[in-house]
Amino acid sequence: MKRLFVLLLCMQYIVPLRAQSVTASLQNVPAEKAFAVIQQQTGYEFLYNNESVRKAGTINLSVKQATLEVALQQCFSQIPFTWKVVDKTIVVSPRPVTAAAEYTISGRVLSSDSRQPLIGATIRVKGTDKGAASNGSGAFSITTGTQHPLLQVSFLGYISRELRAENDMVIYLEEDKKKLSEVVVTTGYITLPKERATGSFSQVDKSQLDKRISTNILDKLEGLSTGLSFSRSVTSDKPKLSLRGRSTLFSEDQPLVVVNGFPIEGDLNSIDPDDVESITILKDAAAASIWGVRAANGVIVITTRQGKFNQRPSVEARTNIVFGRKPDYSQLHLMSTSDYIDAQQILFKAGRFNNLFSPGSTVPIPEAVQIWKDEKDGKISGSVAAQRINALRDIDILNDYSRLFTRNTITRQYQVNVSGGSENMQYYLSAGYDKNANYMVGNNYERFTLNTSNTVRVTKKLELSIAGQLSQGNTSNPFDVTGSSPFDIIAGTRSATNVAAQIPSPYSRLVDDNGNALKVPWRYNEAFKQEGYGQGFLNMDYYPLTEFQLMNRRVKSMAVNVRLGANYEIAKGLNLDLKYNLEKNNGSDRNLEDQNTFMVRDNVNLFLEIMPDGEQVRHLPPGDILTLAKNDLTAQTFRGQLNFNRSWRQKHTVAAIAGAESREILREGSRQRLFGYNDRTLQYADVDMVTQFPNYYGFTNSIGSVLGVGAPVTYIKDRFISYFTNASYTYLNRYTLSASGRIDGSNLFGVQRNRRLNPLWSVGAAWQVQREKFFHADWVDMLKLRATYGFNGNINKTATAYTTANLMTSGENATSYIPYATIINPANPNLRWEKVAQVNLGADFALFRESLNGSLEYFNKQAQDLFGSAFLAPSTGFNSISSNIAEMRTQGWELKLDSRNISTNNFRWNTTFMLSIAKDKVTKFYNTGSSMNPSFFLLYGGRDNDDRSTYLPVEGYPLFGLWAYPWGGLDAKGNAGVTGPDGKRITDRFEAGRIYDNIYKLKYMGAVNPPVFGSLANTFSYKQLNLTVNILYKLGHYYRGSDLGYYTMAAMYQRGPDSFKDRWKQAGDEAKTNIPAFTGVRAQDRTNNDFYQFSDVNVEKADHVRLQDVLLSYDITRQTMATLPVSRITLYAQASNLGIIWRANKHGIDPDYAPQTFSSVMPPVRTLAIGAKVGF
Amino acid sequence: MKKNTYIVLAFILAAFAGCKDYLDIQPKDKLIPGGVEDFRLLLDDQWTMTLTPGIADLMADDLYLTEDQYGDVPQDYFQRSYTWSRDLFTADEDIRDWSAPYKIIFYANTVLEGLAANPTGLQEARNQVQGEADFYRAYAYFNLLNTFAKQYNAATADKDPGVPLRLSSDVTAPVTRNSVKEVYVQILADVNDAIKLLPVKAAFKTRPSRAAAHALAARIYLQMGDYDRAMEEATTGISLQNTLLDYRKVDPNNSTFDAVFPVTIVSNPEVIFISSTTGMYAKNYAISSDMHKLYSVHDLRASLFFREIPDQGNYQYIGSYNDGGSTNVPSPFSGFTVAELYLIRAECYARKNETNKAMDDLNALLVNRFEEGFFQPVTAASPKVALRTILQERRKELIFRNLRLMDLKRLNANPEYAITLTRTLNDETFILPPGDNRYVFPIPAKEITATHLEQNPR
Repeated sequence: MKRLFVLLLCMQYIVPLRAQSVTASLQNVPAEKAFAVIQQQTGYEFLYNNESVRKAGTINLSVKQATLEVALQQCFSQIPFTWKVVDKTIVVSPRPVTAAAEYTISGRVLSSDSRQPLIGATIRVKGTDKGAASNGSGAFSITTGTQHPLLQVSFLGYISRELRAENDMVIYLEEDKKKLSEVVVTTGYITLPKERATGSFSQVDKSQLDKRISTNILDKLEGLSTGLSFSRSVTSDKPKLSLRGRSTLFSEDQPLVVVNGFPIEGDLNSIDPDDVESITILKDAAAASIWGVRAANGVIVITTRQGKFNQRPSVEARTNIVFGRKPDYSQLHLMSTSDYIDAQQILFKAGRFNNLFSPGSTVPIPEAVQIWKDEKDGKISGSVAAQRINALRDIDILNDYSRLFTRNTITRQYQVNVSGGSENMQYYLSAGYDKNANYMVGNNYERFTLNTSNTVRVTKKLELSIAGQLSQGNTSNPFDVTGSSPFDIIAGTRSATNVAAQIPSPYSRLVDDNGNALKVPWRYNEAFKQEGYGQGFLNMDYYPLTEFQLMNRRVKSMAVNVRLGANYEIAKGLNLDLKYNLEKNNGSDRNLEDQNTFMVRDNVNLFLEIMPDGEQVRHLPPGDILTLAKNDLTAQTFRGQLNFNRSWRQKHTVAAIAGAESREILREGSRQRLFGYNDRTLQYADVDMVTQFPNYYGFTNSIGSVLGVGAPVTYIKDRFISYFTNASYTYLNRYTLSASGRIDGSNLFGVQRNRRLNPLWSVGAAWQVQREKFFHADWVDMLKLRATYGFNGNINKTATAYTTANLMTSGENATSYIPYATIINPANPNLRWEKVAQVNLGADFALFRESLNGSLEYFNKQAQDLFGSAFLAPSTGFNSISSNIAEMRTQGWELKLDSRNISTNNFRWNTTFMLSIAKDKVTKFYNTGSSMNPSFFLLYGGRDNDDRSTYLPVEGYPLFGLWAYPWGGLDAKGNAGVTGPDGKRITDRFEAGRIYDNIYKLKYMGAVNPPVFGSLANTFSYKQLNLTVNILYKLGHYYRGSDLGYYTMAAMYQRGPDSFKDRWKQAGDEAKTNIPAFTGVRAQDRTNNDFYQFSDVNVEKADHVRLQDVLLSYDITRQTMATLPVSRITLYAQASNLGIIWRANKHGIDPDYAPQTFSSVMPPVRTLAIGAKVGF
Repeated sequence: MKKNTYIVLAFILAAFAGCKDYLDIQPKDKLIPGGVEDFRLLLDDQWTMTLTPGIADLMADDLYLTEDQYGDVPQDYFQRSYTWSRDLFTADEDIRDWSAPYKIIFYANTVLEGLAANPTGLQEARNQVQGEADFYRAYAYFNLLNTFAKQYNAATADKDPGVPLRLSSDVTAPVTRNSVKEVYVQILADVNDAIKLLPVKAAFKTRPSRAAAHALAARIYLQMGDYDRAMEEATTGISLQNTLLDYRKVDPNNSTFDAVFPVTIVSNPEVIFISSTTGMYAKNYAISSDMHKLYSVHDLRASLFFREIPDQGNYQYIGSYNDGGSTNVPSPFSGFTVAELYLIRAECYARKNETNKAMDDLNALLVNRFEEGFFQPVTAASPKVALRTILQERRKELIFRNLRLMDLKRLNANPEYAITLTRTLNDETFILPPGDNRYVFPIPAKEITATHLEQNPR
């Protein structure tokens, strides 16, 4: 092998001999090598003492058509030898040590990163005992016998360098931790130097994580890794992550999160972000396939902090406080109260409220409607009516709501930690406390965390470790979706889908001028209430403020995580590693519904039975209702693993692991509801949950069916067994081959035994190009090429290979009331786990003295055997079967650049740029006729939410695609139309459905998830002052605008969007607006609403650039302030969620939080954080 | 040191070697049916197992809807059935009249296969479960044939296309339409097995008993025109269960909230087996005032089965036994009663010219249906008169139990009893001649797409 390279070198660089001219380009070769080249080209032979010349070190020879003399002078200026020509022989002898031959070399040693002088660096002339140390300004001076000797420069904490001496040289040393070859990546099973890794890893270290202030570790990751995108959905307050796009349709779509080598099953909120040392993101098959059937969505590996052997104790304390504004409800883009009244008047005139006044109606009457009715009935005059109506126009319930129910937020975080170690042990201890006052009054969160990690070297060969983490979180009166459900209380529900379901009119007031709670029209009209009171009903009024004040819910979660480990060195390079992990979460939820709440009163009324003799029997006793729920999780993993890590003669390096693990996850839950509860005496009443009681409303209900808890007990146990191996071989630190394999078995319901053991594997190769002798571009410091291929798996717990039945409890069988089982799945013995084949090609590079580092990657994921509903003949008794029928492809590019733009002693400017492209396409999916109905796609398509039952894959398109009717404009009456495929205008909603009877006939608008996204971070430092500006961008996607509310306004009194003010109002408006008229006529409004909502004019580009946050920090150290009582203080301030810098849409809408039909998520409020970190 | 290594390695291997059973745990809230007690649970899935088609009553001549009522009929194909439209089902509709019996067949196949594969369990329990599965499968195939195939005709039964016979739970098995005869052979084999295996009495009326199996057999033989066997089965059935509900003792005001049949189905002694149609809510059915006149003034059924709909000129059906005291089973009762057995036997006697015996059976029933003191035993001058009387009483007694179209189909086979149906809606008159292709429902389009079965001509 080596010979081959020499040969290659000769062929390329050595010009065949011509008389006595020398051409050569040799870098750092032994002198002998240079002699040989000269000899070959000139025919002159060399005579020398092999051994002493060999010790002289290497030389450079760079000459072109030079005379022999010039070539020899160049050679001998670099080694302490002299020469003379005797005949055709060049005699080499040691240079006599004389005063005349002394040279003085001087220069400075600086940090390459900060450009600060390094004081006390050691500079040594190689092969001699001459040397010096740099002074206070980093300067040094050495006297040597040769003019350009090799210097060895070293400084603690920096990477040593060897370089040829020059006069007045400036030597830059790089900080050790930043050297690429020292960066390690961890998969959770193995930690290896990044330079030997073949796979695609993104590494985020503590310094990067510290740049964003958050109580949640995952929030900190946004914008710090290529390929990882965040989306906030309407239905959940947790961001949805996607790594390199999507590669499943209906199965698990979130990356696996691993903490210290074990998947975390519980809540990530149990981790104090300050305890996190680094996060590694495993993106391709070679990186992730060690995680087998759970790796298809990528893996996020979190490593928490540890102590170090032989390190003095170091104490660090940190605190910060974050201030946030209360929600700005103007971001909901709702119509004004005045517009709402106008809309209501149109409906009133059209007779749409007539039913409210029909005898027997129980529905409450909005105040404005009552005024118009009184006017119509002649009870009040037109001017009085107008006056009263106008008084309502200035009221906005949101103002009361915002004032009474919301507040500015304050989040406090405190943490202190100690780490260190002696010769035989290392330790890390931390304690943290967080307290958040969230935007809803009464909604507080506090968290207490303890974390410890200890390793003891029992003998030279045996290390034992124990680590534990404890976290206790308490939430009071939680709201399900942060900032998204301002009307929870008003609407009497916690569902986030009721944002606009503001049944109390926008002109309702919540308090009177004296601050007393006011009732709002709710559920029943006054006549019905009076009737009810006659029957003995409890009060039926609804006071939102009182309801709010009566809330009393406490959610507690306790998380304990214990890791035990033993590492035994069996032989040199061979370790046995045993690990046990126990994760235990206990969650409890206690909701006390006061007897004075509307819900309790209303249900007590519901279960009031009037007996034939007139006796009133309350089947549901008045009193509080207490709901208690417990959710426990126990996950245990035992892992045995052999690690082998060894190098031979600097040439061969092998790193390999093999092992097995078993894992069990048990989730248990229970839920109960106590009625007639008294929180002071702790007594409650027994109620009959089963009997159907007749009630005043004309129905029968059992208490169980109305107030029962559903399934009171849950118990799910999953087990896995896995065997895994991973090996890499590196030759000459240049070529690395890697392979991994994993077999998973699980009890997961239904996967047949012979398919349970599911092998997944990967192979990879990497090449450190810059280490090749032939490669010598000065400006390239590092160039590594890598390629991998392999498979990751995904599980779907809903699918089943056996005929499976759900057990039903007794009582549900209508006449026999005996338990039964109902078949939910026919047998499907061919079920397989989903798998994703992934190709990854990557290049890592460092250029221009490492002032530009980065990586470029290409990936192509082919997801196979994806689950979908396969259509069955109805004569099987089933319509469909969950089966491996679909395929999907996701491909893309990732570019990351770290650039050191300016680096002077006082000022530095660094830039990090990330660009990710990920495009998914469903390549195979069988759609049955009915599921291709465009009305489904218009309504549900393009919604990346948590409800997988609404996902509608279409072959040839991204999973979340948006389709629309071609807009047909407004006619002279302001009514909407759409354009048919033949260009004709369609004005009928049902006709549009008949003509557009297939999804492929609709107009495809684009994907909902951004195919292009990334971040740009700039850090400016002036002396001890640092400023980081973070910008995020998402490009190339679309969103559908809100509907007009024309239907819901009338049917559900919902407050529509503010586009109402721009609607068609009079002839000629059709030239100016696309918003159709609001007619008050049910069918026409429905058509106008739907045509506008589902046509292409209501689909907007979602591209935008967002200023995420700005961080300002100032370091005070003893160097800058000699009197500092501690070793270091960092003060920092961060402003976050600063808003959108640029957006493609012209409506001022934040596309990440676009208002949608029935629901809206508000953009996160701006926050300002200030904090300090102290190192002792 | 080497030794230690091996010990440690052996320990780890041992730890994982014992894992063969580690993965064999079953989730607690799910069931993979395997033993007889699991099959018991499956067959007790009343919502699945006791469903029968209901679409036939929408086609038959008892139903009479005004234009408004027609407009309120919930599903398009229900409406189109009412007008005997040639274009009945659209491409993507789920036709439960087809899929619901096949789901029962899937359950039955699952149980029968499971019993064969797993010989454990008490013999008594096994017999019962097996007998029930046989009963359900026979009943489901019989209902499918009556809806989706031609009336049984011994001469052509081996050529007339029936429905696909699925006798295994493999959903991927290919199917074709078996002949009407083949399906009847299977039905009779199953029902005879059921008769042998079922216990005389069932603990619940949603579980088939031996009487239910005889009642099913009687219904089958009657439909096939085998009056000897039908009489035999009816007689055996009556010997096992013969109590009729005495309508004279029923308090019509006992229904609590709504106008429903005042006796609960569980306490109704004449119910042999409960099944319900997949069709409309029972109260969506109505009859014309002409039809209502068929019930005499003192016939208690006139008021217990119907109430007049004001301003509409027709009578709402409130007589489904299912409705008694429960709103849980809204679809009409289509199961077996002692009354039906009497009617079957009466018809068989009449057809065998045993007029007196026929009239005895009929009167045994009717005495329970008339107001106290107003019952006059029915007599007949000839077997033919007897038969016409019995058929009329059959129509009145078994109304809206999904039986009328079956009766029309078998009666149409004989020109003497053939009836041409007509109805008027929105000033349009519709006619359905005897033996018309439209007596047979088309196979649902989804099924044709999946299995390319031969479609029924329409």
